[in-house]
Amino acid sequence: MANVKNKLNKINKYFELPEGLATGGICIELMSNKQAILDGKCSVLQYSDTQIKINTGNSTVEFFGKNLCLDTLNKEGAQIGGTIQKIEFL
Amino acid sequence: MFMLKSFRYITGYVKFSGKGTFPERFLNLCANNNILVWSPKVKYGEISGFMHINDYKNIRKIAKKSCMRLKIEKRRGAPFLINRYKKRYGIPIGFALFFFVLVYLSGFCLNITVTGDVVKTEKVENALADSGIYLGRRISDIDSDVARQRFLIKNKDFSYAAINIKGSHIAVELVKTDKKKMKNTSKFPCNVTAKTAGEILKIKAYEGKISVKIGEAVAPGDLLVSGVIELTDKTTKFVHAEAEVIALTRHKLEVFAPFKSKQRLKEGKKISRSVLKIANINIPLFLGEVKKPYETKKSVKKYKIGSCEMPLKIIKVDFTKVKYKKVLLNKNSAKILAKQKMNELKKKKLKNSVKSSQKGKFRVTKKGVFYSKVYFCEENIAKSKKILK
Repeated sequence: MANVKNKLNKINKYFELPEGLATGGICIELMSNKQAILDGKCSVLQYSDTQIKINTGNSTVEFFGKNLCLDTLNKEGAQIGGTIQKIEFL
Repeated sequence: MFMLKSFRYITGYVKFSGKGTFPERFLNLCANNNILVWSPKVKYGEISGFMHINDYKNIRKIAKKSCMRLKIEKRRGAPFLINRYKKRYGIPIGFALFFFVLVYLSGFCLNITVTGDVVKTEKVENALADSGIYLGRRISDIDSDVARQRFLIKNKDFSYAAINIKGSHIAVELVKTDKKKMKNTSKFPCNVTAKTAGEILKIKAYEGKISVKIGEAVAPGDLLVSGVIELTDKTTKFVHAEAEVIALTRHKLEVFAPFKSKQRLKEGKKISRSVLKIANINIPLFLGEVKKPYETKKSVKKYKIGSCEMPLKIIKVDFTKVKYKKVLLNKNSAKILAKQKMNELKKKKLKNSVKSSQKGKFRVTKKGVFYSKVYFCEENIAKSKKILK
């Protein structure tokens, strides 16, 4: 499984595509600091209005801010609203 | 966002809250089971958010897995509203009736507007009604082309008509015939003949050959100006003879004034009766009837919304009671009345062409007085008569 992932990453590099695209990495899109759209399979680990911790499979992303809210959460991704002050990758 | 909110309102949703140990797990399980939770809030192990009603019914297993105890806080949306009023049968029946009436009435002509160089008058309305365009007629029964042609055939005063049907509204555009132009364009060959007998005083011929002389006496139908002209090369030319022929004419007028007559007097008592007219249906707004004899005065009140006339009218008729009084006249009074009648008749028939008159003659009979008088007038006696029929 690891070999397959390495090979896919190599192909990605060869075609100058973003790393992790073929191996199921998550894509995070930010609209200023007011909204974050997470595209890919993810699950919530911790949820409050100041901190949202999301598991993306390979890594964990933590959003810090004020009035944070999980606008949508489904199989394909999630959408976070509010004022984002800090993003941390663990 | 508005569309999304509207969709959620139509399908119905609930605001829920729950207590438990794993609220985050509850959210993850909802996402994995395709259950949409929007605006979730988690505080001190308590979760609240919104969910579709159908999803809330299937959430029991998920709540049990994540050790959550859920309860509904608010129910919102159309399904709950309908459920609340489902026993009130009047509301759906009213809605159904409203749409039925709306659809049914939109199939009828409810408004007619007349544009162009004419004003919508009763005469135009009647002419349109004769051609098949009237308020209250089914739109599907109106063939605008046929109605247009029928209208133009029946009404020679109009040279152009367009009938446009827009829903339940009919727009009619009319253009009047220019009679002067018509006269000029149809210059058929004709003679000028005498309308009445008289003595010629003046002739003004615009076209044609004069056949009479000044001072000559003519009988009705005599040729005054000929439309047939003989040219120098012995050929004949037909023209539209036009002339103004002033002649001294004689008119004998006679009137009759009876000794016994009925005089019409107004009693002064007024009775008003109103009728509500919706399209072409008349609804009387009164009871009983008015006894004859009476004089009537009709007034129509129309209702408008902006510039659009509503198919609603209130026709008010004022009845003024009258009574007949028998009047007996003596000889002198009858003569005065006869003179008055003669003056009225003179004004009506001879207008201002009277130059002189003979003294009037009275003839007394058993029933009344006859009064006759001869008037001499100066008038145009020219009359066009077609040469070829």
